[in-house]
Amino acid sequence: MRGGERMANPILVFCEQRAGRLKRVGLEALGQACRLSKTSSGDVVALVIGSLAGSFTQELADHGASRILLADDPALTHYSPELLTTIVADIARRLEPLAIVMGATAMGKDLAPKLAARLASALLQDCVALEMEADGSLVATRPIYGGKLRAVVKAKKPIMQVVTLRPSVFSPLKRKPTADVFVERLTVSCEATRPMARVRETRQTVEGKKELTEATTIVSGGRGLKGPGNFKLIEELAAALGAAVGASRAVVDEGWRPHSDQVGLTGKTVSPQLYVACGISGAIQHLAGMSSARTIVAINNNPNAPIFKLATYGIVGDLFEVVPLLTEEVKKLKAG
Amino acid sequence: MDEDRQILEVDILFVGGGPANLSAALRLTQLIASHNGQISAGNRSSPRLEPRIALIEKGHDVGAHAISGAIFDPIALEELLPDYRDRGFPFSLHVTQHSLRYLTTERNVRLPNVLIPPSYRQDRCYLGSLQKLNLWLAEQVEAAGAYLFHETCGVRILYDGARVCGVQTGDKGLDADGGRKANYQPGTNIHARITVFGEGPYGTLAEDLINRFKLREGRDPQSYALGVKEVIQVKSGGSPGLAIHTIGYPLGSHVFGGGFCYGFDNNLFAVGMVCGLDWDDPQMDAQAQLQRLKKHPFIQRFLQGGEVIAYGAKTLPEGGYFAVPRPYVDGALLVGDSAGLLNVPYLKGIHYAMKSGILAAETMFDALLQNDTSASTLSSYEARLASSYIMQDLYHVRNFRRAFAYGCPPGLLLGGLTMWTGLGPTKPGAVREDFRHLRPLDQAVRGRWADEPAQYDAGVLVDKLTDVYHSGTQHREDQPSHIQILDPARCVTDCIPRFGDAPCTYFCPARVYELVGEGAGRRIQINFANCVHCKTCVIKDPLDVISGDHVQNIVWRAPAEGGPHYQGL
Amino acid sequence: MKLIVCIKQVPATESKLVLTRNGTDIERAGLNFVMNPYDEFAVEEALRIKERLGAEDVTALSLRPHAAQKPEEALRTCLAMGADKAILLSDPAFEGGDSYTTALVLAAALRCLPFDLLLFGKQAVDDDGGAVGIQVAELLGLPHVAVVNKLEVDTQSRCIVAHRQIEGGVEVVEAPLPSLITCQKGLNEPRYPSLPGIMKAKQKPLEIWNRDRIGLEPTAIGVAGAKVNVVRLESPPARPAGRIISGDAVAAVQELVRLLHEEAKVI
Repeated sequence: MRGGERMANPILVFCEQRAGRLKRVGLEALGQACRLSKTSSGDVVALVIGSLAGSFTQELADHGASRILLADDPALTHYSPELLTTIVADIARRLEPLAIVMGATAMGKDLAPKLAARLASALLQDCVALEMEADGSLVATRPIYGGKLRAVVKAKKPIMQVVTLRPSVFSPLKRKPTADVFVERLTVSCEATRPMARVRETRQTVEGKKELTEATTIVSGGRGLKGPGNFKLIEELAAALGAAVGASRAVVDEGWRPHSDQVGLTGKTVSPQLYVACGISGAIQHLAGMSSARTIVAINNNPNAPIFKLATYGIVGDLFEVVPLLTEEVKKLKAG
Repeated sequence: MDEDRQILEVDILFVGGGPANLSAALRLTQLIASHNGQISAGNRSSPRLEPRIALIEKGHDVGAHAISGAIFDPIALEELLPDYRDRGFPFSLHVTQHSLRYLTTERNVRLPNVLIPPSYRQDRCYLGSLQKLNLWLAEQVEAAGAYLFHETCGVRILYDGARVCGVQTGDKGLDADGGRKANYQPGTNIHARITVFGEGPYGTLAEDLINRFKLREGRDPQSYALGVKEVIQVKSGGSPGLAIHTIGYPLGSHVFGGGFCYGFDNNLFAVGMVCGLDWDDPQMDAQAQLQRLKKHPFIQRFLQGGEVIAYGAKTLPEGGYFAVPRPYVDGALLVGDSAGLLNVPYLKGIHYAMKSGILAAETMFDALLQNDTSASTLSSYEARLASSYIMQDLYHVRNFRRAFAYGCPPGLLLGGLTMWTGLGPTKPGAVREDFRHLRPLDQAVRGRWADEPAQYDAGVLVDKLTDVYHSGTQHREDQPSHIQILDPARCVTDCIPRFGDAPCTYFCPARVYELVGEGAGRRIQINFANCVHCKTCVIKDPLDVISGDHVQNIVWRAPAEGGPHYQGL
Repeated sequence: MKLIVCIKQVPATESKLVLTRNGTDIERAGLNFVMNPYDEFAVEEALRIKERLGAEDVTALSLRPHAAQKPEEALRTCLAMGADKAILLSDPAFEGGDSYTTALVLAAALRCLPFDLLLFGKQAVDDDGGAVGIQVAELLGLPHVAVVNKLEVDTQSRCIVAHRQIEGGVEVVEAPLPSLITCQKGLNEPRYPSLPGIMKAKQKPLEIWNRDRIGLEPTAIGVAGAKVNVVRLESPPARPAGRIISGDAVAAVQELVRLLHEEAKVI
């Protein structure tokens, strides 16, 4: 605290870790908190909770955290909505942050509503844009109606606003080595004061077929592949990218792929980081299922295919030539 | 398999939730309420009537599959609900500027209103949407105590000997191969004393009934038209009350039909084309013609900067007086479009549908009173129709549509003449079914712009698949296809060589049929999930493959689940 | 066992949405409304538990979010599927709130009802918030398991074991009864209401509860109590014009990979 000046309320960032690894979205949230703190001129406080094996402090400091709180307890090995809510709420009551920010992950989307209800404060869920007004109240943009519309919403009170950020929308700050960082290890009570749900175990999904709606990368094939056998080109590219395989309705109707692979209006709606459409012309029914993908790559031999209107990057060419080349280049990049 | 079906007993079953059946259900409840009221008041001694009335509708609701122009003549509604304006009636906009235009490629000629007989002018009519009308009527019907079952499709008529005794509804929860999923739900056998078929034009079950009892014997086969319609939102410059009907461009002289453009509140326009399905051109595509119509300078100026927000397609029965089938059998009645009740020169059928429903209700009320639902009692329905304005009007204009067999300009002259005078032949004529009119590509009479590709701009001019998207149609894809091609090989070996192209890929307004593959691998693929239930394919399918009762290659049966979700059409 | 399913009525997913003149809401006239698809999994699960364990009854509970909506229809669907009773919370004071005020109203109603398990859909497909169920659990002091795609109920030890979807795996969660779950696709295949079921549904009780019935201050709920205001709704921004990478296939692919790696940072 500098001479007599009232310290501005901080922004608290819950940085999720699972099994000793920080989630990238936590760093994205830190980055956004730092940008907002230019308005609020308060601290950006990072909070990590768990049975903490690794050391996160340097990474967090380098990405903009001015203070770091660690709540480390073996009882926190698995996610517990009740215990985490209690811990974060206690910290929040002590620090009176303007906002509590976290990623809209399975954990974040579970914790944030519970926390907001406990604090009786505003909840801004799954934001894709976030700004702060002069009084500290947040104005957030969040997709609704399956992405058909966006709502711009504003919290009524600029205190303890609970925010989750859609992963990969915001960018972390550029890493800047920071020597001087204040770390506080908290002693937390992990006693259950009321009935609570307990995670017995966390199971990894069996490797192999990736679920489309969960995948961050999807490679889809359409009728341009000319036959079911040629889908191996798609599968190879997907394997190189660690992606799930999708399909247009045309090829599902042809029986080349099961219905569960279909992306589009009558199939699945996906919003991956990267969507590679190979030999898909891009009928509106297909576009309706994937247009919210962050980056779209289209490979098609018809330069007038509607998919190119939506694509971030397009290659007009023969997919039988382009796709294998792409697989090789991706492999090279990953190996290098 | 039938032993695990549930049975539902009702007295009256309405198949299809359109204006005919909804009006019938409403009128019947009114008659019963008044009858029972009289008994309670001691004015009548006969027993009270408490029939169970049910209506099944395949759409998500009674509006979901409903599409019409729609210029609505309230004549039948005034009879059904004289106080309709006080009951939340959904339309308030009247036609204020009506004109009929003849379009050439670039120009338009206004045909003077004096050419139109007074009873065919549109001034007293509302501009509305059939979807909204149906939803409103359904509210009145439910309030009167009838059961409405949505997303419930009749798939088979149930008979007791030669008497219709109800309908079986579709099995739900089937996978693509017809196997039972975890939520398999067998269809129900709904038993009824009278079943009323108001399934719209070319009703699946209505046609089964007509064929089984030869109800069109001695009459003309039904002729149809295909109507396609879009709702277009413009940013400003709406023209509420505008009603334009066009003839000429973009249809060739051998396609009977025309376009329309109606102005609604909130900067909305409805534009559409109605094309007689007796066209001869195997590449005739109504949806593409609609795009051309919207590019015509006269229409384009209304739609500038607009965006398509809804689309739908539906056939219309245009055969008129001589194509109306006998509308009753033992235990069943036909109403509305399923009975072919539509006035072609007036461009309207909703008021006839409603009036036929009212007459059917009066017939059923008598049958319930007499406790006799046999054909002899129900035959009074045909007499009621005959003495009503429906059949009298239809008789007057019986030759209007047939005059167009001579092509458009002479047809206009002759048709107009018959409309004024009511003159012309008084017997059914040599009308051929629509599918018999297709000719090979090189012999068809086509508009000279037919070879110009339709243009799209992703705003007001859209391709067919985009329009399908705007119909909101959905069919769960892992269900059995409701459309079959009996002999797929003949599409390639017979149909394409005969006509020079695959007509189904053009006449279908929803791109259900697609020619895929190359060389010897060519075949027709069925994208049944696109289907908007318009029935064009079964009417226009030119291949005479014979299998059982069915004489064409395409078989269309109503699916147990799915269909369009029309909004404001 | 007593089960309560909380459902929401939402516009059908294929609906065309038009904004109201002031741009803060959608135009509801002419829209098809349906039961929220995720809530169907909750209803089905409750009915299966009832059938499997002989639970006493299944109650469906909903809240009218807007005067122009008729959640009665969605509740009748629940009754037609097999729920025993339905309650609709309907009061102008309830409308126009956020997840928190909705949870407050539901929690107040639920305090008037006995239950062992509460079931919600994992999110409503209109707001896409996924918060109300979890907030109800918090307000009632109940444990919750969200995004459940597998559920076992043990009446002996009075607990549930639920599988909950997380990134790249599942959490197997145990919770004592009474508790709350939110249901995800995959949990079951919701049944179709049968025609006799639909007819029976007309005779089943559907109660309407207003603010007086559950006792809440009008300032705490609805628009007045909401912690969040809607400023406006808008269409998602148009995607920026894409880039066609020209050149021969080898060069184009190399450039594409470079862009994906360096510019888009997705590989």
